[in-house]
Amino acid sequence: MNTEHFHDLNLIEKLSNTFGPSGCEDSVAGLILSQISGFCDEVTTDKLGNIIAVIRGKGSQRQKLMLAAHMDEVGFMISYIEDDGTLKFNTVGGMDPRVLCGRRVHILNSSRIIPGIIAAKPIHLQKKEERKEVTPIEKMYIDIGASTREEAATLCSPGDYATFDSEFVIFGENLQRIKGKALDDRMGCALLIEVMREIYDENLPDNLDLYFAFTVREEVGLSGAVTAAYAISPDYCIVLESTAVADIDGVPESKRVARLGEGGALSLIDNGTIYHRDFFDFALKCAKEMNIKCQIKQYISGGNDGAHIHKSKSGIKTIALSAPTRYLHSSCCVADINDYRTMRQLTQALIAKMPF
Amino acid sequence: MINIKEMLSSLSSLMSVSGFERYDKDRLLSLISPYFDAYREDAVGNFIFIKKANNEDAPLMLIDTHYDEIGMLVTDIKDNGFLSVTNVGGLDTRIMPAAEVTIYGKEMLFGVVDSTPPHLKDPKASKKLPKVSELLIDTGYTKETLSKIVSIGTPVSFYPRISELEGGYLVGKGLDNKACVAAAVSAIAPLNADSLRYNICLNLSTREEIGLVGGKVGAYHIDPDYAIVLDVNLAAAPDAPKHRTVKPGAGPSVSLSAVTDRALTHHIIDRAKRAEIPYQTVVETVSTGTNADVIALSRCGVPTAVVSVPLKGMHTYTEAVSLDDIEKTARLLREILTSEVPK
Repeated sequence: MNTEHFHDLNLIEKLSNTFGPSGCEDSVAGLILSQISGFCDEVTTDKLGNIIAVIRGKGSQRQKLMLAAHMDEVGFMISYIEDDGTLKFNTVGGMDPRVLCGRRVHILNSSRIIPGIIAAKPIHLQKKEERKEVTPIEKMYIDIGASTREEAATLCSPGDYATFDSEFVIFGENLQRIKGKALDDRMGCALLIEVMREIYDENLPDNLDLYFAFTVREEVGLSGAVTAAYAISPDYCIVLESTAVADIDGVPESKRVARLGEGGALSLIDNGTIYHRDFFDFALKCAKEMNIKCQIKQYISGGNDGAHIHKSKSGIKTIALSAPTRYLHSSCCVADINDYRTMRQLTQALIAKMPF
Repeated sequence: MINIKEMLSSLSSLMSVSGFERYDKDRLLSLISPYFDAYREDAVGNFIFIKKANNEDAPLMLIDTHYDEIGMLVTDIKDNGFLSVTNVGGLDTRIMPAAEVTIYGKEMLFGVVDSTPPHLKDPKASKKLPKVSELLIDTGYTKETLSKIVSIGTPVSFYPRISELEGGYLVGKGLDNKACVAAAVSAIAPLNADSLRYNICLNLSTREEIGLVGGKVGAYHIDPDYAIVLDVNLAAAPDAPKHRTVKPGAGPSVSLSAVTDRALTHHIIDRAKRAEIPYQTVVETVSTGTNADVIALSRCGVPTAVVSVPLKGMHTYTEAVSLDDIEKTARLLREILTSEVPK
């Protein structure tokens, strides 16, 4: 295995393992700022916490291209401490109760990480009907090892955030698959970082100014994208995302959304956006010409920052390029590193050819 | 003295799905054999460790701690590198979607259990848990390559990972019943032949999770005078009935049951009191749900008692046990092994 294989994987691992549920993206932002320092002309953090970094092109007739990836991940917020020291919680972002029971979590109190487990009644004590039904989130609790409210209160408080505690794993044939808690959307963040590092100084675009927006709170209503798009006021936007796919055995081909290993997925339409058709066609043509693997998202599902960006101000020509990701919004998101790499290649190719 | 945390962490990482307990046998023996005089196996794969008292006529004490853990077996190799499985022992599918597993084929493979994305969920069926037969394990391999590594019947276990909680809890898979294996070994290791009042057979019994097999067979050929079964017990939880659970962190629990021997049980409680070891009792009227149920009926009957370590999240990959409870259980066992049961 060459070291090149691990270079981008290391970056994605670092980003995915960092604590950053919606509204609590500081650690992720800190990591990103350290990674892009020296690789842009200007970098600002706006009032919501979005990072906006700018690389200016060489030409005199420059248009603005915004590249957006969100920093936040789905997570939890502690809502109440029970007498017995267990914690009740709410989810931050959309989560399926099926992927919660038994998971390790990290709770961030005012100074450090407290480990916990999302627990529910053990199988031995479940009634027959309970064994067939999904445990609702209201019946789950987080165990941090405290046995009284007082003890628990010294460790955390209502309002504290939590995320999954899940190791980053590289696996599968030829080590092409990755598993992590926050591939959505730290892969997008990694992609933006890598593109910045490759373009700055040596490969500046001609007639484009590039705005790299690392947004906050995507998972709870796409808030960050609203202010970022307003401030940047771009002519174009490419949203770099992850999209939930169902390319698993037994699912009809038509419902698989996209397939791991077949390249980044370009969206025509999803639950939030009808993407700009000419821009979409341009991207698809560019991929074909450059022989970069790319697929079209097949199913109307999901949504992303594009939902706000494309209707910001006078409207923005927007496309979305997503890494097909299995088991999205769980502790074990699974993606293919080659998809990430083809997305990076396509993004660079688009930057080189734009504006169209 | 044995470092219980290290011992249990090592034990937890061993693959011991019921019926496949031999998989990590060499590592198991290297962990435990140094503390015993002899070792033997039997026809159902029980690992039996022997420690002798100075007095050859001392009664024979069987300590039974089952060593197997729940898991899965591969039933089919599907397209795109997915595996379907069946359960070995009581597997709770509540914890399976998007869970991590290890597949013990010709190579060890990492896998993730599938979960249905939101757009495919039938709102009517959305409350239904998947059946074990509906679970798919994503290996990231092509079917062709996967077929060379994995076959029907290959065992699958929860992904081994150890972590900790505040309050001295260790978290991982298979702590049912390796927490008790750690307690037993830790209790016996420092005892010398002079202090022992019994000849000891420690049976790391097999196939408990699928029907108390090793416990039954072991008790028959060991033919002990007394038996103590060490197994985990359900720890108190917010939604669990108090009378069926024990308090984690409050020391070992002693079972009060029609199945177990009253004199031996009272002796254990007495030793706990005298040595000031915190303990608790749990009422398990007609069944302890442990190997004791079969050991007590072996041959002409064996006076048997059950001592338990409280365990949170039983049969999950995040079972949590108080290291202090294990230590206290070990102390209690040591007290028992160095004292005689009153006639």
